[in-house]
Amino acid sequence: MSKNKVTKHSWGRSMLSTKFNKPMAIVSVSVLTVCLILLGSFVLVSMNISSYLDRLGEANVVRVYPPYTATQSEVYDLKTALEATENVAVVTYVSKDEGAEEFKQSYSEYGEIMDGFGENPLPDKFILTLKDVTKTSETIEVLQALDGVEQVTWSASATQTIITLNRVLKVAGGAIVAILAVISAFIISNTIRASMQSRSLEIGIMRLVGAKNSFIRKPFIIEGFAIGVIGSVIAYVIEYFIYIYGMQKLVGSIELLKPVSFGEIALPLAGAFLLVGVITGVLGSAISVRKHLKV
Amino acid sequence: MIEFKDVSMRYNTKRGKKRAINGVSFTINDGEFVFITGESGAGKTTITRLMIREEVANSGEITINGFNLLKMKNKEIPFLRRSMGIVFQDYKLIPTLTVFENVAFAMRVIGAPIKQIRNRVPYMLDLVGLADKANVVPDELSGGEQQRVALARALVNNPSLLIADEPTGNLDPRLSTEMMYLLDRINAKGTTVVIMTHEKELVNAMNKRVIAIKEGVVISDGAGGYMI
Repeated sequence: MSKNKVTKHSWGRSMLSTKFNKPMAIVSVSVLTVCLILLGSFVLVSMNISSYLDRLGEANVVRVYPPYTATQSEVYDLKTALEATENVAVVTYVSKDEGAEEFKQSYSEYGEIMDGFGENPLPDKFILTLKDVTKTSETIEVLQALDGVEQVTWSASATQTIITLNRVLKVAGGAIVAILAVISAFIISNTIRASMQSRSLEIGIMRLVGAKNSFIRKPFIIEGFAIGVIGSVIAYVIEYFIYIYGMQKLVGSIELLKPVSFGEIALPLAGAFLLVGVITGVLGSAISVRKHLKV
Repeated sequence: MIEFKDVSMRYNTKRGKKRAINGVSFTINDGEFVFITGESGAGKTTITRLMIREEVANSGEITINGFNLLKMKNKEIPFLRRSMGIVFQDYKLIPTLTVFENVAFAMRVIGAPIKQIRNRVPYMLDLVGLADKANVVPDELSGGEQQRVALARALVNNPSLLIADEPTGNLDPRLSTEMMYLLDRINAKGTTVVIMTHEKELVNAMNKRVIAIKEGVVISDGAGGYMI
């Protein structure tokens, strides 16, 4: 009797099922891969939109003007008060002279307008960046109530747009991810169940010759794990190419949009793919094999 | 030893409860060769399923090799099954594995060491006359040969009890007789053999103890090849 037969068999204990059911294993891996790519693509699109919104938020500044007649010490007190205000991230002081210079540089063709005034008509001002744009209106109310504040200006429509988009992204994104996850779980569990069904002979024989449930379960769990790992690795590689050669180029071609670099998201994305893939594969196998182990 | 005491079993069907066996009692001692006979639907398969603990009886008491089958815990079932070998009419061989691998499979499942498998499987294949077919897949074998592979697998873990449910159902008369002589030889080595069958000529030819079942009830139990 050939020696390698036994060794091959023992090595192949867990691989027996895969050998037995290669088409089903391929189907399971394919379904998992497609689901992960769909989920991953959606998350990447959301991240790009979210990063764009963050940048819009940073650009969306609030201007606070002290009275034109305010003294240096009053302006200094106001700066301290502004810095202590909740939700204010950065306070930048722009003196009236710096303001005039900025105006001249921004509107060079109208530079002589400033000269026509003789004395600089611009007030001192503070440019504020907020930590959370969605709390703009509450912060504006606080700022307006501060002592030594003459006027507060901000772009209400831009703020509203960012708030709305953020809200839509969160709700729609959450819903789409949830729907995709449910569909993936459903398809994968059905695929594994079908695969398990075709192995009922193998499981039945194992039970009849006195295999413990843990022994029967083990190869299927290992296979679920392998399906999860292989599916997530394939999905990750495909996602990389889709992102680099598709999404990133598309996003980059739109003015104002700066795509999130793949390097920034490579590790979390790999971790998430592996985690989702392995959990789905192992859970799918464990749940499906349970049915066959009942007495 | 196998002991059935007043065992009854009912199945739930669409038309209500159907009684499969009713008040069945018998004792089979170690080393015996026994036929359990009856027409289709008499209750033979139910008795087989109760013996291998695929089903649990509604009432009565079943003791096999020291296990109380109505009171045992699920985690004890593998150990009951390791004490017996089981052969079915449809062989239940894994078609993608070779003859050697099919027999070795039963040893691997209970965690036997590779060295032991390497020694034991060729011995079993030799015993059932298939030493030269070790590397062949089941589809390339005749029905009789496939049944002998199933028998080798059932015996490879050296069980004290062999249960065969219609083992010759798919075999022609010549192969059926050969299979019976093989089982007789195995019994002569000390293994208790219990065969469920409805083949009258075969049973009569063997001249062994026969427990006859009709409509779920034991109607006779005796030696001498008697069969209804």
